Amino acid sequence: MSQEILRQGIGGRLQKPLKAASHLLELRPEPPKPVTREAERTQPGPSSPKARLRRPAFWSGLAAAVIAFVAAISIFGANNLFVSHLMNTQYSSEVELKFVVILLLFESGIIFAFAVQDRRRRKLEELLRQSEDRLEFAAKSADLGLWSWDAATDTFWATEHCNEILGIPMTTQYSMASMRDTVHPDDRALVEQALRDGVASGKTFEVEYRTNIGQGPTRWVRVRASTVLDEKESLVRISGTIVDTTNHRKIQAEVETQKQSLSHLSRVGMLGELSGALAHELNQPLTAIMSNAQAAQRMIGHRRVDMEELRMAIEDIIANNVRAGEVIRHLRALLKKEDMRQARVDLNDVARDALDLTHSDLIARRVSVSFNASQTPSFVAGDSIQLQQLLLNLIMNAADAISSTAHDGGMLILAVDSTEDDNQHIAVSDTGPGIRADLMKNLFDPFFTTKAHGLGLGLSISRSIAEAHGGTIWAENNAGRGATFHIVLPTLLEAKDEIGELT
Amino acid sequence: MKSESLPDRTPQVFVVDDDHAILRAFSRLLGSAGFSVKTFDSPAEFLVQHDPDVPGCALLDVGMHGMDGLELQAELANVGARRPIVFVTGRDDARTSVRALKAGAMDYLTKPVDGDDLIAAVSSALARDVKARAQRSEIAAIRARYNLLTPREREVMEHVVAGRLNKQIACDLGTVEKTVKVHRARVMAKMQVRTVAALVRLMERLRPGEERL
Repeated sequence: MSQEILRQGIGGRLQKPLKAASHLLELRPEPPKPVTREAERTQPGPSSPKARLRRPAFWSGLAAAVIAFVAAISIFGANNLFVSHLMNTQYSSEVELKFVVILLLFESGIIFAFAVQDRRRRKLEELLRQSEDRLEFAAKSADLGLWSWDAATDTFWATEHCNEILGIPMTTQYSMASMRDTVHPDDRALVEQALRDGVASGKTFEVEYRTNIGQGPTRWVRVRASTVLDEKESLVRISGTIVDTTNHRKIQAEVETQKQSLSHLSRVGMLGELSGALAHELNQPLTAIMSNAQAAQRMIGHRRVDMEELRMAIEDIIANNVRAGEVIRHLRALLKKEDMRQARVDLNDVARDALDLTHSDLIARRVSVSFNASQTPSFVAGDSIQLQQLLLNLIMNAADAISSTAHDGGMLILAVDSTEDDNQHIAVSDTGPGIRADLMKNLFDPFFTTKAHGLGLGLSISRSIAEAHGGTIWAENNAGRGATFHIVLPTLLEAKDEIGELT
Repeated sequence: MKSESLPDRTPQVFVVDDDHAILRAFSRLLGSAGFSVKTFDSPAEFLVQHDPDVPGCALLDVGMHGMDGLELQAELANVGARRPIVFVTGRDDARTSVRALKAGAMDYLTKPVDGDDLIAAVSSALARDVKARAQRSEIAAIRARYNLLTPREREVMEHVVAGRLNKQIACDLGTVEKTVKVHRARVMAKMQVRTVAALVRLMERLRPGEERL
């Protein structure tokens, strides 16, 4: 302000020489370093541009004042020696001249000082801008958009990259309401809830949502933000970052699809192995149907038809038809390629179904089965087909282990119970040769197999199924013969019964 | 009609299968064909309740928990129960069928089995059992008669069957022809035959090979 007044008083004429002089002043050595260090020590942010701005202003002002004072003294001294002898002018006019000169020099000193200060300020502003540019560049390189919302003016400030991510023009000024429209209608409630929670808690919050901008494609973005409140606890500002997660999501979805395909393939492969057993499972009801139907035919040919026996024969035909249908339904479910579905599943049912499917295979391999179901239902949230696949894998492995050593068969024990910390637990034990200690740690690795025709996917898929259900799987050798595989899955609490509809 | 144990000599079909649906269906089918049927849902139960003296055949499932059909067949042979066996299997496994037939099985049927085939197999197994039992009781009767002979009479009989003359027998046994004649008459009486040819036929029946059925 004072600089402006000075410029008005003197006029534009002095500005050029002053600027030139200020260039000369640039050559002046930096202010004494110890002082700067001291100042830095007292100010915790030494690189903060604001702190830097204040110090040079003071030093340049001081320097200019000193220069002006020295100039005035020298002029005053020179006059005393020479001017009075050469010009025999009146003392009063001499004094006036000296005064004007001193004043002029003093003023110019001040102007120098301000000019220097201005230049330094510009330089520091430049530094500040560079620093901001660097920050923005770094943010952009990290694919981060930066933004801030001011509560008082209800306006958004955003970096260019932020606008790029959102796909909105740089020129439009966004308010909270218009920004809300850029959120996909289905996700608005979610975003609003996150905002409310974030403001209420005062903590950093995160929300991922889909965008909804004009004709453009829907994109996934993840916003991380923190709120700033004033001393009266009212909202001043929300600022944060934004990341485009569309590609990340796409890759994730692809990985998931691959996993599902692999799991499906392994299921189909497993059914191939079980085909003999499955044919038997179908054969039983078909045989019963055939025999009952032919019995009924014969009964009708009798002179006295036993209607009660005939009715029972037909009832049995129907029951066996249902049984055959169950086998087909089972098969179809295992063969179907479907995304993971979440439902309430009783592990006892899963175990029974898996044992039903392997029933005749286990008989053929002379494996006797003991199934210890839990006293109460063992509910978990998950996909019954995948869990069945997991158990089928372990049952088939156990049967393979048993028949790899003993020709007179062995014992398979399947137990469902709950752990001490109320998780659900399934154990599949066999009386096979057990697992070699050096193979234990690679057991669940993909393509790791000890079987001549194994792909080495069974256990790795088993593990990913267990993990997808929030559980764990591990193996250990029994104290006596054989090994036991354990699966622990989180219990589904009764309160979450409605999960059946969730996806 | 089906499950009661009959004290008389009516032939029974003993069906053993661990699948109740199959048990009921077979029992009904065989019942409709006029057979008397008894069902067991485990080989162990069958072995406990089995009376070898009751005529009839066994219809066994090959693949059963605990003890399979072939083991049951071996176990029956161990306890000397010579009962015709018809196997029914869910798996068409050539090796198992050969093993079963070699061990004396009457038939080896694959599920789903046609009712008429099943009835035919059971009928012929029952017929075989009836015939075998008749043969066995006939042989038992011959043996009972044979058991009445004294050691000397048996000695004489061996020579008679071999076609030797009384003179030769007397010479071989160090006795006189008259004594041989007396022994010979007693043998013919005890064995209830009139001619040497009939005696030879009887003795042929006692040969171990003939006893197998």
